Amino acid sequence: MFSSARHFSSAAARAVSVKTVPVAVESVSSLKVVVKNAGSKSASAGLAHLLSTSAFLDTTEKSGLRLKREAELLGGEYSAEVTRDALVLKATFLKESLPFFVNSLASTLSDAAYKPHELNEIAGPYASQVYATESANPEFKALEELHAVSYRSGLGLPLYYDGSKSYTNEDIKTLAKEAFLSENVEIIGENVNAADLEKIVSESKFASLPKGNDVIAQKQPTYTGAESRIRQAGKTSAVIGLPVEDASAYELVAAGLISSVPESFSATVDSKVLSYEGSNLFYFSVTSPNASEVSTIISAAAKALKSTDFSKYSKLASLLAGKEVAAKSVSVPADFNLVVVGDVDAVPLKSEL
Amino acid sequence: MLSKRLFSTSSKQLSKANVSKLGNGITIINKPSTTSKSSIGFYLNSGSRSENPYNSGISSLLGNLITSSKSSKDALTNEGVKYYSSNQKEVTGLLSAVYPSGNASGAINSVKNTFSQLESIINDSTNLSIQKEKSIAVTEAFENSPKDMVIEHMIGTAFQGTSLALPKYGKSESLEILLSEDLKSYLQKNLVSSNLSIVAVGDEISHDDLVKLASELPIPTGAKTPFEPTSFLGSDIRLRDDNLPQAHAAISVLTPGLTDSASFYTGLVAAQINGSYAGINSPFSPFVGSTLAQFLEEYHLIDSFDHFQLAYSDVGLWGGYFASHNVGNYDETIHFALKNWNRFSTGTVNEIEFSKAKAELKLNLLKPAECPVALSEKLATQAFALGYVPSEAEISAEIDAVTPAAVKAWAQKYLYDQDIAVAGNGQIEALFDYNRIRNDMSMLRW
Repeated sequence: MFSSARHFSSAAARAVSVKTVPVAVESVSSLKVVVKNAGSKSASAGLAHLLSTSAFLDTTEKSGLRLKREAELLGGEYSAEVTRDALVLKATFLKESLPFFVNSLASTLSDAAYKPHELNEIAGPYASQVYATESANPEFKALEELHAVSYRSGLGLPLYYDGSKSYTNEDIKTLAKEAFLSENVEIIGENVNAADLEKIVSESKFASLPKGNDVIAQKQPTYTGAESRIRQAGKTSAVIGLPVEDASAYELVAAGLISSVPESFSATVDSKVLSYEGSNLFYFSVTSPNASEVSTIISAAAKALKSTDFSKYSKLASLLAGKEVAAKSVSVPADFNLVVVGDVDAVPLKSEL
Repeated sequence: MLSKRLFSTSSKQLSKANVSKLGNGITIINKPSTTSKSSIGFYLNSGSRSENPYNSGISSLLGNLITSSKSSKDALTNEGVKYYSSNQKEVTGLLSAVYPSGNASGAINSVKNTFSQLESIINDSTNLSIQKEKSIAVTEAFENSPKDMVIEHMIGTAFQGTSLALPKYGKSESLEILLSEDLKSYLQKNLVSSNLSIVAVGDEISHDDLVKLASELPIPTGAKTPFEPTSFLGSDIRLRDDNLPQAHAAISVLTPGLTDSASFYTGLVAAQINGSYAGINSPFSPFVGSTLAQFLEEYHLIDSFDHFQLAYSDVGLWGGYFASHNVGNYDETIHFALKNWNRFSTGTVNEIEFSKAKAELKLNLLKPAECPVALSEKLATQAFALGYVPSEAEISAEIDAVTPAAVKAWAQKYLYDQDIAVAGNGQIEALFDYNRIRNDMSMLRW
């Protein structure tokens, strides 16, 4: 813990990075702690998900029960989420409770106990519940498979714990020790005073996290031309995707595909560029209870991908991406990956698209 | 001094909603926002409560027609402006246009264009028949979501025989028979100046821009048709379905509406005391402080529950929703929940539960809205019902003003030994009959 004399030089002395963003509300603040190198790409399959579901449980100082009750009393809520790149801890609370939540988030990183019974009774069952809920959705399953065929390792690892491996609390503890280094941690405060946040962070356990080398985003080897088809009851989902270099160009492609496929009654169509450290993954997906509709729309999208002039979609792309996307011409490579989940016979093969 | 004063108010200006009423009755609201997307929306103070059993669903059908029209598609592809529509009991979101920052002019031009084509949009019989089918599909999908469905049926049985009982999304049998003519007369009656609110969320469209836009749109001057008065009837409705894995029920009592803000906030605090319980969908469920959650979880009587204070302009419903797969003991789930409600009347809710409820309620009411459309609907609803939009400081003050004595008085008046509206769905063999549930609303021994 830093002595109070070091407050003024805290930004230089601390490797944890702190950012603040304004929000148009007065009374509620939120904190987001992004821990790079603790996402699903950086650990053995599913382990990072278990690490995230183990957050906010017992620490050496405070039980998970006490933390929950204290947060309720102060008017605050917290959650942990795993992404491919990072572990993301979030807390939303009434403005005046900032010190409490900075300290709680800090101790869940620095002091978590990772007890065996917590993994068996809370973190494990909850992780399985999340996996079961998500994979009942064929679009999620198809996107997971798209990651797997596009990247094979790293970003291609499953996002959630699927039960195919078994882990103990010691595995989680080891991952936490490796990943929770001060250079990996970024704190983003919404509607908080920057100086206050800096000061509280420098006095919290964030300041005493072990130092470690900054993660350098390494370029992932990528693969195109793959096809994967998974039979499953329920809705049918088809996804065309490819790893791309220029994310903003493919925001235009996403907009162009969404507006050029035929209108449909029951199908949901989605197209996005997922930006990760070291790679971006573009996809177009269609999901419907009616497999022949999926077939029509995915064929139309594959055709549009080859023939459309995407430069004119900058306005729609700006809306969908939530940021300014400039018009430019895009050359889409001829080959892509295709994943189909559901009634796979009704959807054409990649060579037929 | 002057500059200091300006700085001290600038953060307040950031979040304040400006509301004004034009000479012809149109309500204009704008609220600054820092999100990447902004919106401009048109809200009618009509909703499903302005419908009747023969045109039930017409408000949401109208919204679907507009969002699926050619001008909506043009706005999306050419301008990057997406249209949404929504329908509530007393407010219809006719059209809410979401645009990325920097494109306010595109959004304004698109909505102007859509308003100028309104007549051809409702006369487009091909799209009308497609949208009728789609609206019917929405009403059917709604029936498959047990929580929304039992709460809607609970409102339906509570206010049976009045227009407040009509479902938000309409009924398939009335949607089927609607014609362009019906839409035209509905619009003539409801799209009038004093029934309309124009809401902008974001920094790009100023209050003056909205006033200018309002004057340019072809909105006829006219008075709002008042809502038909409603009446509460203690009753129950059951849709037993043994193919569902759980039992679902919603139970509520009659309370005052939005205009009685003291009762409204007291009801909200009371609802938050037991709050909600997410079961296996939250890792922190075993730790929650609500006594009801602890009790029901310990005895395996619950999967999830929620408490609510629904409020319309003149009336409200306070109650809870309970889902359990332990269908054989579902009578106990309901019995112990209602016995827990009795604590409000006896004044045996403790200090800690009380401050927890108030802090959580502040968080829930004051946290930033997730999307501009939800925010603008909330602003329009408040402006229609109250005539103003309460600021954060006002909401905080209202919550702080709720005392344990106020909750006790509120509960003795509206909750203790009062008639209830009950709706059940799923495996509800063990959901007792009306009188036995009604008996739990009072106590044999105080």
